[in-house]
Amino acid sequence: MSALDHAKQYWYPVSMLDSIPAFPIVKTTRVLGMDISITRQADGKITVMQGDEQWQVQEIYDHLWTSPSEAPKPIFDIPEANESDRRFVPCGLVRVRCSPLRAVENFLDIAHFPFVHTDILGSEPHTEVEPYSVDIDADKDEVIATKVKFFQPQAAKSASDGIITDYVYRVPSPMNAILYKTCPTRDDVQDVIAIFVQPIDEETCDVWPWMALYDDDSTMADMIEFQQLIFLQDRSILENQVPTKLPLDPKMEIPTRADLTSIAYRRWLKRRGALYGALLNTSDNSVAAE
Amino acid sequence: MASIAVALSKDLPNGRVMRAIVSEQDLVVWRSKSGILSAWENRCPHRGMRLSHGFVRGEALACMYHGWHYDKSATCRYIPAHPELEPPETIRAQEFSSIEKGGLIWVSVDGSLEEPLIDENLTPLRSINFQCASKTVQEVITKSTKLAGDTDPFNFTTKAAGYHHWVLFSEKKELNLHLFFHELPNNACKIHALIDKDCPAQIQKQISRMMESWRRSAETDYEVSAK
Repeated sequence: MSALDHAKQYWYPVSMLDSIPAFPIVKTTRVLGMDISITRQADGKITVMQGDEQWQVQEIYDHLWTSPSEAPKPIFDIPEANESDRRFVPCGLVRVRCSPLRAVENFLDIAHFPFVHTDILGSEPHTEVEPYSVDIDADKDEVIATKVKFFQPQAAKSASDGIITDYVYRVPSPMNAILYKTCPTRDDVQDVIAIFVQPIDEETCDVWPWMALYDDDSTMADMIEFQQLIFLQDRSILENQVPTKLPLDPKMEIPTRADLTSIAYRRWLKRRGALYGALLNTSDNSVAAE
Repeated sequence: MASIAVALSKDLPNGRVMRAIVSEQDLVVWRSKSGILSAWENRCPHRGMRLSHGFVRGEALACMYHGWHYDKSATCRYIPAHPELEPPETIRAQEFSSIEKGGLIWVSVDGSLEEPLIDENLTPLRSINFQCASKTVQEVITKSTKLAGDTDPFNFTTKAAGYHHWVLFSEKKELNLHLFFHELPNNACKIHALIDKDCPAQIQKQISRMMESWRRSAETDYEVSAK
């Protein structure tokens, strides 16, 4: 199966639900290199067309999802999306000129916090990454990282002081990742942050961050602004990684123990043949200047 | 391909980092706090981040992404995620040869760093960027030296025109202007210019302005020929 054919089996986010215009305005975007148009019909039903072909749609996690497949794999579950006391915050999109897989891998990385999100999600000298666990959940075939801990000066908009934040990461499908982290204002629950990645093509993506938080004080605009700032900081990294695609050959980029999640993610992609946006062999490597 | 001038030495102060491209090879060129110059592949071996976005910490270059430190031998010496760990010697950035001569920084990406022969009577004037290929700039210079008058008040003639190195001479002012061409990808180039040491500051300014007029002509010509 080709990398593209493999990628076609999944659902992809293509818009926030509340930004799909009223009939008859058509919104256009691109998925896996294919141009699509999104229309809210007169009866309110949303359709996605790729040329003459109609794609399936579903409305979930505050976004419109679509798939080029007639029988896509079922979309992953986020049980916390049903917890009505959370605030659900779709954050808009950040366009990034990198492989969708690089964007997901960066989301799973904590060691960069002190250097990229300085004085927000990390700060020197608190740079050490303590040992944590990574497994493949056999039932769901997901990458799961647990017991991840990191010192954070401002873990969320609602945080007033530095705290040791606990993280759990899930990668339920190649281009989506979810994290569960310490809620700064409550001990009994965890905040949920996800990125849903829309692959424009193998070297460009739109990242749709989404949050399900316990935060009664911050305004929606403040929470979105906080998350947008974090992702713009990430973009300055993602657009300067070479090669643009994610290398799956372990010889190409040298990991350490702090990269266990990334190592597991790369292996898991390779094993399931999720190669859209990936480089399989060193010979594909093209690190020349652009 | 030998050595290519990538910048004036004075444009890279101690503790600073820059990006350079030579023959499509993306490079990080940096100077430690004590002044030691290095030129490496512009890529951290950990996660591929361009090292030219990094920052100098004393005698080391730190990657912007995870703060890994590389010393002057391009060897990784410190991984902040594991402060107690002594990194294996195998974690290294790819080094290229670099040298400073005549007030210029020279880099070779093919392993053959010949020491450039630079007249000792020269002093660095400036670097200038062009959004067109060096061939276009060279055509403009040839044209303007032939025309003289407004575009060239010094009546420069071309004394030598190599592939990367041109020497212009003004009989009127008894002045040598050395141009080192630095080709870049996507139809762009730089010129690093040296001039006789005894050239008065006022004339240096005029020559600098003359080079800017080359740029206007060259970039306009390029746009015309591209259409």
